[in-house]
Amino acid sequence: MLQFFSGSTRMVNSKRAIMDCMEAAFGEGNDTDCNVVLIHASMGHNYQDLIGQAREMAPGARVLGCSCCGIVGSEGVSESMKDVAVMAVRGDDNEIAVASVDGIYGHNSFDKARELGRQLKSQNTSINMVYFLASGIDIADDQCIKGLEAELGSDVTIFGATSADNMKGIINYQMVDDKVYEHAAFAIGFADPSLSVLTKATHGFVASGEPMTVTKSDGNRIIELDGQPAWDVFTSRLGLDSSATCGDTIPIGALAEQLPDSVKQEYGNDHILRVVTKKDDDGSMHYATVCPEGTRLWLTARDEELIFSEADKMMEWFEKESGGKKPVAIFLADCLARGRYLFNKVMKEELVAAMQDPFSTDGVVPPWIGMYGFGEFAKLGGKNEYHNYTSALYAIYRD
Amino acid sequence: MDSRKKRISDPILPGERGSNYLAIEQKYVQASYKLDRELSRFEEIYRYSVQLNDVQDDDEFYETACESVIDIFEVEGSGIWLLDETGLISDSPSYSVTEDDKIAWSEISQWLNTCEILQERKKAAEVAILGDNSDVTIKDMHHLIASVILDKDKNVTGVIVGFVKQDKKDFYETNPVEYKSSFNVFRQMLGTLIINRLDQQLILEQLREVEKAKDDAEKANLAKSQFLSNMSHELRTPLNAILGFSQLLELSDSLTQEDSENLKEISKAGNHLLNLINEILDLSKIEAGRLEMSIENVEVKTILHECVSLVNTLANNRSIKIDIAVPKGIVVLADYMRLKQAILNLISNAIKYNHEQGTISISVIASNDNLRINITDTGVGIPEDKISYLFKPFGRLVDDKSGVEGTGIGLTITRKLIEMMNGQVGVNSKYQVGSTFWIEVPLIALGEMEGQIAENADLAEVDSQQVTSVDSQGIYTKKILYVDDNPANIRLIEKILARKPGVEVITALDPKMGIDIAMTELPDLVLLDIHMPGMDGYDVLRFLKKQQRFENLPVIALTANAMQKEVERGLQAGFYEYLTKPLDIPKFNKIIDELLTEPLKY
Repeated sequence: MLQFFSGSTRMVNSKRAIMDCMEAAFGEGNDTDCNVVLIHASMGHNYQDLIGQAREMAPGARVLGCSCCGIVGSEGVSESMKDVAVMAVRGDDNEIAVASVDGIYGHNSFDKARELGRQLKSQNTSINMVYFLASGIDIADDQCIKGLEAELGSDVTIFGATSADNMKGIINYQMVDDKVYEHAAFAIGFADPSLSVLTKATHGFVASGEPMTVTKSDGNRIIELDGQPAWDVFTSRLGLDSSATCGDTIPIGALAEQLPDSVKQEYGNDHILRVVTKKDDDGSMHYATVCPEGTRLWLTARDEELIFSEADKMMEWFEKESGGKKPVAIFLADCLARGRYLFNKVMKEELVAAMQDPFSTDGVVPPWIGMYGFGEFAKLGGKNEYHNYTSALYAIYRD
Repeated sequence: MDSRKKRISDPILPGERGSNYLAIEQKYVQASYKLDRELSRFEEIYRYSVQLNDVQDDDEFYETACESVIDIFEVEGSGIWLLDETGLISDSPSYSVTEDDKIAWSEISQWLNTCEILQERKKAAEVAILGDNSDVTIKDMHHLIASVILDKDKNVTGVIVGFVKQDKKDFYETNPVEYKSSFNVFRQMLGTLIINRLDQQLILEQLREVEKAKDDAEKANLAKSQFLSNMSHELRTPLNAILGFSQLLELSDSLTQEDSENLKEISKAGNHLLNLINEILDLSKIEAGRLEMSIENVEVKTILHECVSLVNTLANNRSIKIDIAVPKGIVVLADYMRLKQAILNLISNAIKYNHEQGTISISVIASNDNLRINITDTGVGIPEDKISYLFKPFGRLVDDKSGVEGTGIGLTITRKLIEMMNGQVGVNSKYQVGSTFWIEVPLIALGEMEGQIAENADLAEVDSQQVTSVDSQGIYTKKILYVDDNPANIRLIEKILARKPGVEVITALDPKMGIDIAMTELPDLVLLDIHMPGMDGYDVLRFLKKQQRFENLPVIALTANAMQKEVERGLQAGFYEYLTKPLDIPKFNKIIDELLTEPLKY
């Protein structure tokens, strides 16, 4: 039976930060060894020190992690350059499996994800949920879902996030055991029959204006919009100079694709959002999913009230779906554009509290790990889906 | 907020979406973000000030200060230079926190040395920034912010620096100009903490010195007490012989007048030495905190009469009259024996330092919750400038030629004893007229004191303590075994007991020999020294008591170890009596006589 333990801190020294998190997770003086240590850490940390310390404190564990733009733990939200959050999982070896691949990009996302699925399946055929994390800048996330499903079946629930830097879109890191990667992906397969997971994402943005049409693309790379170099059109529509960086476009440049009618009501929105994470020198730009020619993309505007009301609806949904049961662990993937770059501290904490309070018992938040990253995975219309600009919650319940 | 609501509620028409609108909104968001970030910095400065204030260790303090620069201002690395007396910045910082071990610290220090903040302190230049527009460039450095740390007198004592290198500039892009104000606040906070720290260190050092001095004094005192305890034993053993044989000689009829006078001088000197040892021992016990008080209700009139009875002879010898004006029923809270010791000391002094045919008046006054016992003499009085020396050890105010005997620590002991009973001791004196020494102790009941009824005690009414003489009639022939490794002590006891008819004295110089004799001779009484080679007195006692035939055999300890703790230990171990050397012969005789007149119990 898997058990979850979490801790988070804001601390400059990376080794001490991990010690602090592990102590918060397991309690001072208690054994910290476990099966898996999942780390989220912002860009100011020394990742090698983080995993080194984690391996020292949990020598029997697979150590996994990624860079991010900020964290959300049981202790609250923090978006500095020195944040760390940890979720440790302890249980029987046959209840948990870990897989990893390096060199994942847009063009090979399906194959690399399938490789992950293969690794998991070879370890355990009873996996019913997968925490997936990959480089967030230049992969095709929809292909990652397909790749995993090709091995594990479409019934498996995929939840997770894509790693990020501090919204610069330059580089991001993944940690697997004792190595730090820039283009890696990993997956944690859960096979504890007593556990189930509910996932849901919400954004609260409104599409507006005339759409741009993709006139030339290659996989997840959009080369032209409306017959013009994509980056020029995109920045121009945002009112920015084409010399702008992704750091400039991400906060204001959420692109919307229209959803099928069948899921609009469930999603609470007509559109699903996508982020541009990278631009190439030739004026093309990297989209988060494969983007076929002919796809229509809208610019969007944030609706503060909608963001809060949709978050409330999401929590009501969890309450209803779980039958009022309290989760044993929560994973949160939040878009980095929904953090300090969008809200002031008070509002941001209010939004996080709106999500944590309903899951808490007598004010005690369950083991919780969250991060501000580039993208989120959560089910939509009964299928695994990739999202951007959302808050995606994954609540694990024990039956 | 209103504008945003208006925008969202407005219908969005195809083609109407103004792209500049988003950029403007983002500028608004960014402005809010910058403000929010600066507010967060102030919050963090406060948080770190609390954290730093609790740090004891210097290295930890400065390393945490470096970390706080990185955390608060989101820079890549930081360093602190602490200036020496020359006031120059050295090539590398005193403390630094950075992941990079190839920072061009010497270039940074050169830049700092030329910085306005170090050349001349001006308000406008409290923070220096090296950035894109600077004339100076430092290897690999993208931007750098620095400021001085000042002491109480506004002298520069250090420099604090935060930096971002070129290869990390994309991640640490906040322009230092944005946080110049908060950085200035931070360095002021750090300066204040360092000033407080130095003040605290000074106080701590002084406290440590005081603590050490106290420890040293306590150790010295302990050593002194131990020395006194040991010395007391060593002195008591020969004193036992001196005083014992003197007392024996006094009983002889064959002494000439001159011999008798010489003998009195020996006894007098010996007794003086014994008093001195006893008082020193008392003082050392008090100072070592080993003197335990047994606080109880004490009836004042009773204790005063007891005291007077003890000094009656001394007073009579000098024709000094003692008046007691104390009503019945006054009860105070005190240790009976120790209060008696204190009062006796004051009355003895009043006799010693009085004129022949003088007077001593003893009276009481109740004030608040205390009772004051006044002992007023008509003696020489004390000059005002000497009074402060009175209660100090060996602070005798009369010279040794005065003929008045005294150890010089009696009043010190008296004060300490009374203070241990939550009381006070004091003196009012008029030179050439007389003195009133007083003791104040907690009052429990006034008794007949209502109305201040004075009662003059007639000393004739006070019964002197009579030492009952032993009638030699009816004494059985008894064997007394005396075991002691000191031949002089053995000779003394033999001579004392030789005066008792029907007593056979058997002696042993060795404890094992003593046991052998006991087993064969079956003595009626055993006198046992404690400190002996091989087996001590306790071993011998244990052995004897294990024998059924000696179960009720009275064994008396005769030892020079007069510490109260040892006396208690001896009685607890099963000694019938614990007599200390030098031997009080009348007391010894009384005990022996009592025991010998009783029928055998075994």
